[in-house]
Amino acid sequence: MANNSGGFNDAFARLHVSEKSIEGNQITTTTISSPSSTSYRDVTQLFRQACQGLDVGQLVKDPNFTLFEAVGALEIMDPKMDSGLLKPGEDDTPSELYQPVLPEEIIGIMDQLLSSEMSWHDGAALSQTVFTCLYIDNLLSLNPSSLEEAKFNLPPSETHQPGSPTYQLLHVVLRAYCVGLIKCCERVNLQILAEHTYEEEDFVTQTYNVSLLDFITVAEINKLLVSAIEYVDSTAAPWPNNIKMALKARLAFRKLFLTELSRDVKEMVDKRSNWDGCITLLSTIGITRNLGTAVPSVFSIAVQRKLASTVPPRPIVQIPFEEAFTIVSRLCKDAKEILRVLTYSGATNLMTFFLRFTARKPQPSTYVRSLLQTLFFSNHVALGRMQISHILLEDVKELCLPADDLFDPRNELSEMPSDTRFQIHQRMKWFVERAGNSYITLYRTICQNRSRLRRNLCHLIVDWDALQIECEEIDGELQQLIKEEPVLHNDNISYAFSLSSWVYHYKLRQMEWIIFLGFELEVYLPHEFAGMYWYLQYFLRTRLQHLERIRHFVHPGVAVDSPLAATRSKECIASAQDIANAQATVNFTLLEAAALQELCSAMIFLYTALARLGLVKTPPQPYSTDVMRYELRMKPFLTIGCPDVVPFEDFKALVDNPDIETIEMLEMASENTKEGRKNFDLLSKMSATSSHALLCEEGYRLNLREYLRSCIGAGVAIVMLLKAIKTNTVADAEVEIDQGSYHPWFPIPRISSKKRPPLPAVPPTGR
Amino acid sequence: METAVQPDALLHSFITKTLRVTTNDTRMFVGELKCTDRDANLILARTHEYRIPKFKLEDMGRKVDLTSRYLGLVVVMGVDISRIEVEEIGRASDGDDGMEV
Repeated sequence: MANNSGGFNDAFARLHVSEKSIEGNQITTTTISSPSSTSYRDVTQLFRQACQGLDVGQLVKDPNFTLFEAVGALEIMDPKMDSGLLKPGEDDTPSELYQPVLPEEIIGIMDQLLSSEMSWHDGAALSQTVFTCLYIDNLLSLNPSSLEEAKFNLPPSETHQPGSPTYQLLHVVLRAYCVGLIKCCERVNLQILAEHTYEEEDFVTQTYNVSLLDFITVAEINKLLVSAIEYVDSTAAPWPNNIKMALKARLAFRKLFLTELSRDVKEMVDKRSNWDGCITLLSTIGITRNLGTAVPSVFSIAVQRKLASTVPPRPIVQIPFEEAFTIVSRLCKDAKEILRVLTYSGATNLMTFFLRFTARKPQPSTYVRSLLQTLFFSNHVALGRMQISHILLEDVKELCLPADDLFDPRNELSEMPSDTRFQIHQRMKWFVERAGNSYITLYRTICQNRSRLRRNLCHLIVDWDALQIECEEIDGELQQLIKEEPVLHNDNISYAFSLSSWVYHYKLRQMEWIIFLGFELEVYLPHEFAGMYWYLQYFLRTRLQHLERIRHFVHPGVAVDSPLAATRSKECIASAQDIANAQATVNFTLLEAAALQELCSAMIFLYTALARLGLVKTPPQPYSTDVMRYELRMKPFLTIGCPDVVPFEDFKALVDNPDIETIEMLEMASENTKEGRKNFDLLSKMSATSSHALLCEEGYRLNLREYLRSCIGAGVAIVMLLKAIKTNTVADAEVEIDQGSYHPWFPIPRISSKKRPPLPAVPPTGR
Repeated sequence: METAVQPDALLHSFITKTLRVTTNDTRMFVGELKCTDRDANLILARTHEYRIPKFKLEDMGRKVDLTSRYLGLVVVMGVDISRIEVEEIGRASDGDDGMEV
């Protein structure tokens, strides 16, 4: 024992140092020489003596190395940083891997693995979840490159004689399940890496240089799972039927789940998806859940000691089975639901689906949001079979319906630069390319997590603002080329400006979303609510005016003597139905914006009144002022050309309305909620087709109901306040902002008396 | 003055060299020295950790590969170090090391 350490050290010097497992992108310029030409000289004494000659605080360092970089260094021997550190008394030799004997234990391990897998889907790292399973570790540690090699490497055991049911349980059933699960992880990782998501924030794709059976095909693994199912089904497996059913359901789910995760867009377009099969099997897994026996000993954090990781160790994450079950069920349902976008039914419908689907609480999983991006646009194809230009131009037509000549397919055929058709085509081509990019980015951005969506929208509006200006110029050129007839609008002779109108409308919507998301994400403090609703109301009012203008210019006329008239192809001419549809879209959008505007106006008055009555207080701002906060809130909008940011003094006067009595203000708010409610009621009565909610009617209606709840809630708050003022009991009133029970964009103050228990929130209007 | 310069120069000669550092728990860390101080605390870049595999009776007398993994930038405290070795490139393979003249 005494000479053990010295012996070890000598042994090290002679040991062959293997480098084989470290390849790939983590190392860029390693120059560790081949072992044969490397020798090490012991400099311990020399080094230590030299160090002692240094002054306290003196550093000897590479001039290119900064201490700033050193902040990211892992501290060896620090238990919080060093994943390789053994706990005191811990032995490095892991105890032999427990080999289960009972099928119940296998069911238990499978369910634990599902929990681990779903924790990974939910944002934890593989090193905290799937990789902590010692069976997964055992299977992957020899870096299998073929299916034959992907097996457990377990010492022979008396209870597990080859061929015996206990042996088959491990080496056929559990092995197939583990192999299937690892491959599922690989497919998920590939999907998520293919699209834009936020690493560590949404999902951790890090695999620590462990290959997730990349070289083994899905077909091979499916076969393996099928043969495991066949074994469980056979008479050789001596277990009761319920156990067999439980094992079979888990294996079959793994097979179907893997198949679904491996589908390409083309198969999905061809309607080959079978998420329903997964959902059915999941219900069997849920029913047979109690048959399993947990085997906690086959999960260990010690696995992290072996993983190539430049980050500190992280604790095991394993969510309860019920939670994992909810996540996987929702994943299957959501993945099935997004396939609806493949049945394209117009651009506005598509946008409504994206907005409603991603706004769901809790938000759809990262995998599903990534897959939705792929379905929308991948390999230069939209929705698996369309050109993005088609969707873009339909979006423009559905709202603005520009003049027919812009879309005449004959334009493209013209090759003479002096020809009007050629010139129109050049400009439309520019629009499709320029706006197409912004349009795709908008859809992709909507698929991001809510905080990122808000942040990214702040950047997007700058682009859309520039796009608007560029399109105005193109619109001007186009109206001359097609000889557009000007129309009298608001005492001015004007032209349609269809393309830039469409861009402006989208820009305004995005500006609204930024502030609405501020409410949803609880960015604003209650004393800012009135001001932020004022801005919403301002943006909405601008949009309403703009929509009125668009309505006026739907399908603009062109001069009868237009040179294009004679050669216009019939297919590009808008039918009466097209014109009616565009007008209906504008009317619907107007109604929706008007409803929101009424509710926002009510909220301004309500929260201003609350501030006046001292029920919503401005917290102490030792390092801030109202002006500074206003500047911060307006920062995304400062560079936007139109609408302008209002100077702070004007803004304050507009929000505070000092000339209006509080009672009068609340009565006005009450009128607004009634108007808003009326508009939302009208919207609820409209069909899914005219609401452009064909792909997501349920989610759309739920959203409307939440708006209505906020209207009603605001109405109740106003009545309570008026009553308190009239009975002189404001001093007894208490206010609590309710973020949860209403529309996330319209949190409602709950007003109660300090003396009486608070009134309950407005009950849900049916879910 | 003279005494202060010497250890300095010696230590500078180790900077950017590959060191093999053995810690008290018998692990080894092989990486490029970036920085050191009076307490012989070391910052190593592009570091690999080597751990002695479990010795089994049947492995006796056979060549055993060390299990290794990549860690990147690490700090090893002087008090935890039992041995420091510097890599010496054999004379036969001086192709890529132009620093040594």
